[in-house]
Amino acid sequence: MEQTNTLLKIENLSVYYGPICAVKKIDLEVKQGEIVAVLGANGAGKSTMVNTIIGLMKAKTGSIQFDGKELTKMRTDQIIQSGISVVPEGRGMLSEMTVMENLQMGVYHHKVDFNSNLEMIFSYFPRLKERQWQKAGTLSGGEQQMLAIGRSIIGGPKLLLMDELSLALSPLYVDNIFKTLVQLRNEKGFTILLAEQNARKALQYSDRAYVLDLGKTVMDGRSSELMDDPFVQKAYLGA
Amino acid sequence: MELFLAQLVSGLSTGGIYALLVLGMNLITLVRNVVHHGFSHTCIFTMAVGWLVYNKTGMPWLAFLAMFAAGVLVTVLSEPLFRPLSKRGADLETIVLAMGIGIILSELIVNFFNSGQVLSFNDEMKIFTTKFQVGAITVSVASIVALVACVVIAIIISTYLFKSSEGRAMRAMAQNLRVAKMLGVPFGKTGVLGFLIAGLLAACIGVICIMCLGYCNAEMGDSFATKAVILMLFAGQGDIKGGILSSILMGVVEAMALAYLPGRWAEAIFYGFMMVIIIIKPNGLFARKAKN
Repeated sequence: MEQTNTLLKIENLSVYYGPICAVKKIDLEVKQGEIVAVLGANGAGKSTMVNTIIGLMKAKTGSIQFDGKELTKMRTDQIIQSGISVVPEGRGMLSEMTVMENLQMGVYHHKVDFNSNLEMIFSYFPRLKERQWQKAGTLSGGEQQMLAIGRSIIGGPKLLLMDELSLALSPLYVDNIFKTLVQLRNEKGFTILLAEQNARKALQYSDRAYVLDLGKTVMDGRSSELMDDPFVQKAYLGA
Repeated sequence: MELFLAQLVSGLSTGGIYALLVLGMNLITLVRNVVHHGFSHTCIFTMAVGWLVYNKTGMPWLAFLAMFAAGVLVTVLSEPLFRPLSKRGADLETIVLAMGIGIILSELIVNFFNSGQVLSFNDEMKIFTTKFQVGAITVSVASIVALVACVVIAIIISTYLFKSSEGRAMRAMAQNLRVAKMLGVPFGKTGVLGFLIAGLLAACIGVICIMCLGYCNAEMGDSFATKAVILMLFAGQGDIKGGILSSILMGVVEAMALAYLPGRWAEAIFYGFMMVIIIIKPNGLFARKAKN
């Protein structure tokens, strides 16, 4: 399954909110077909990293290479067009639009066969098919998360960024959602970068992981190894 | 009964014009989250440009073409002014900017067109001048054509907003700009497109007003703008269908009030009704629940 070519490579990245440094130095690499988790507490810089990858925030130093392109010089719409999709923190529903319209927005920038991809989404998330004409704002939290994932994969992106996927979901749903991600990777070959506070689940379902602290990459390795690491256990798994 | 029918036709065509005004302002609201008070002035400005070109050349079609050019130019050129304000989520400043544009356009009309006199249009510009008699009342062909044109234009633009991917992107920007950007909607390009369509619409409104009213002056911008802004807030900012429906309702109620209510009370009663609606339904008459 695992291949050797690198899809995303972040080197020496720093990002500032005015004078305040949110990301000091992140180095990270995602290979084709991998599920990579980025762990860290609140304020560690995970969301800032995601927002910088898609160009909503500008990097002060460093580079973000994706599929042969330098993303730090591109606009958000160009970055999305080059094959990156996001599941935003808090799910980012367009709540006044129907489920169907939300899915249609997912292919805004991607030239794909909408109908056949729609069938694929509905086969993974049959609930969305039942509710396709309902407004997204009327869905339950779990259903909204399904919609957010469906909307992000319907355009057939090369890389999926998922910001705090497990936030405000019941533990049962969290397992379901992560299992679906693994299934999507195995069956459709998606490459996924997870920014997660829920370190236990993220390590359980990812291949590799990075640990961020105060805007720096402090550890990285195979998820199974990090799970047994005494520092990670103490700081992030509450063991 | 005949009076009622006559007022209904005239109310519907006035309502149609209001509907297009509100639609244009809603288009701009969708992409830049501003209440463009100066949009009505833009419509009157296109009329003035049409008047000038016709008086200089005598060619009505050239005049109409110039109106469309003026509408698009004024609207699209104002977009870069709104962009930085919209980017930083400004609220009150955008009102100042929009009113400023309206005032500048009005002053331009006063100073450069017919030395501030009323601009009356020639029959060639009005296109439809025939009137016919139904029983005891007179119906002008122009008001019927205007009504049909309003309906057709409103349908085309609503269909565009609800069925096309660009239209959907505009609505997405209005709902959640951050998410729209994350889905790849280009903030600059889609905004300019929204302003461009609004500019074309401004010229359409100008042409319809020439047909129905046959004259214009600088003050019309203000009276149109007041009504359009109130109607827009009354229906809910950015609510496309609500805006159209409440505009038509207002046109008809106004016409009826003029015919059946004594003297100057018509407007006071209507605005009173509006005030109550805005107080008890803060998100607009047609909003079902609070937006999150």
